[in-house]
Amino acid sequence: MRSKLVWGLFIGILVACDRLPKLGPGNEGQNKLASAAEEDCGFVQNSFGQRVSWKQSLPIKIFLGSEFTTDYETSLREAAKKWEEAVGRTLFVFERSNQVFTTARDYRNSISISQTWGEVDRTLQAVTSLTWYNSQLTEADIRINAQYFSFYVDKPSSTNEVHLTSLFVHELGHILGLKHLTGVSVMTEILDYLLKRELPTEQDRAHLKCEYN
Amino acid sequence: MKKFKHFKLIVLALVLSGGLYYSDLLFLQKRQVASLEGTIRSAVSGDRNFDLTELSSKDFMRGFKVAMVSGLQVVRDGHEVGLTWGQFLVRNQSGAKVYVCEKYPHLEMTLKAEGVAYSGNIPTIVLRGPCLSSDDGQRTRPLMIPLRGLHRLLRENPKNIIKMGDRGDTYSIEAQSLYDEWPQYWTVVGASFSNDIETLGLDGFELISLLDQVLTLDFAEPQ
Repeated sequence: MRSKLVWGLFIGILVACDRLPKLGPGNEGQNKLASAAEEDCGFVQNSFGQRVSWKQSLPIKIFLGSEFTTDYETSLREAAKKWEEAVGRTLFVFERSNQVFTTARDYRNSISISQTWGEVDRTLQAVTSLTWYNSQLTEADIRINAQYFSFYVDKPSSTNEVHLTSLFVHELGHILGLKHLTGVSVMTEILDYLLKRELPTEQDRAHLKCEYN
Repeated sequence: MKKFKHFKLIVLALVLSGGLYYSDLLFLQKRQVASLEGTIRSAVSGDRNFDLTELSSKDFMRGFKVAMVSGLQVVRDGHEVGLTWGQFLVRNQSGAKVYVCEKYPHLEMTLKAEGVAYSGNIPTIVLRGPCLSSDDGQRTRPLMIPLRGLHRLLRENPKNIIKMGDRGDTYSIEAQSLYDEWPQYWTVVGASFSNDIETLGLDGFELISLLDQVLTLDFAEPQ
């Protein structure tokens, strides 16, 4: 029995130590010695070319800052539903908080509506920061630029307003690990004023299923 | 009672294995960076003479990458950090053997922030400068990156031109997708020598395959 335990511990240590992922094969025609570990499927990739995602750590618990109004929360939950219907499982759990959140690393996922925004980034409607270790996402935070942008829920009151649900769909896509894409997708980089783009497309659904089966 | 004792030992074995794994999760990055810098410094010594002039074109395409990596050194000088790459011999247009910097006078390096992305984009730095030989010709001279105030500098002006050395050589540092937080760890994802016609380079995956680990540097801003 003792020797089995020693072997078990030994194997456990070996498994714990052997964590370097395997790269993809080289390509003689392109004179490449190695390639990405995985196909990207529209996801951000780490240094080994692995897709970063929450893996099985679902649903993702996200705190909502103290400045979240009912309108914002309704749009957010609608946006979350779009992704959950696309993949057929619960992906997000939201919890209101009295705190003011930032993107500083605090090991809590959060969404905040910022009334103060840096001049350098004034053209950005929102920024989603992701942190990961190996290929496992460990923290995600969304900041919405409410200083330089106005948002609408159902009907805009002016021509330079952004559709809130569409924005949340896009930013929640980033939280899931998706990067910007070209073509027909809710993850295309630019969300024009007034445009409603809230339904994940076939491409988006396929990408999501690549990682979250 | 005996079964309970064995159960405790099994649990202890699992906890120890898990503890090893998760303690690495917390400390691996710092240790990995420190040990890699040390490994590179100690592995490269003595004369290197990578004469690739007689290789077939197929062997050359692998050989130059090995030569580049074999000369890797992390150089730290005060609040500046840089990398040297291995030089090797090639033939110039006249057929004479020359060091690679003579035929390919431009050096470019790309680094990406490790473990962080903003709106799906990983912060990226590209360094472009002259390919200059070290005094002994074995390596390239490093393009030194000044860490003090670098974040603010690149946020205000994503493309900065920096003067290097005493010959007035200049090189540029260009940044993309930088935001409020400065990423501490940066991974080299590409390096190349080039001239107006040709480029010899390797990407991050090839670097990992040759080094057997990620080439990540600590760019913590000095206080």
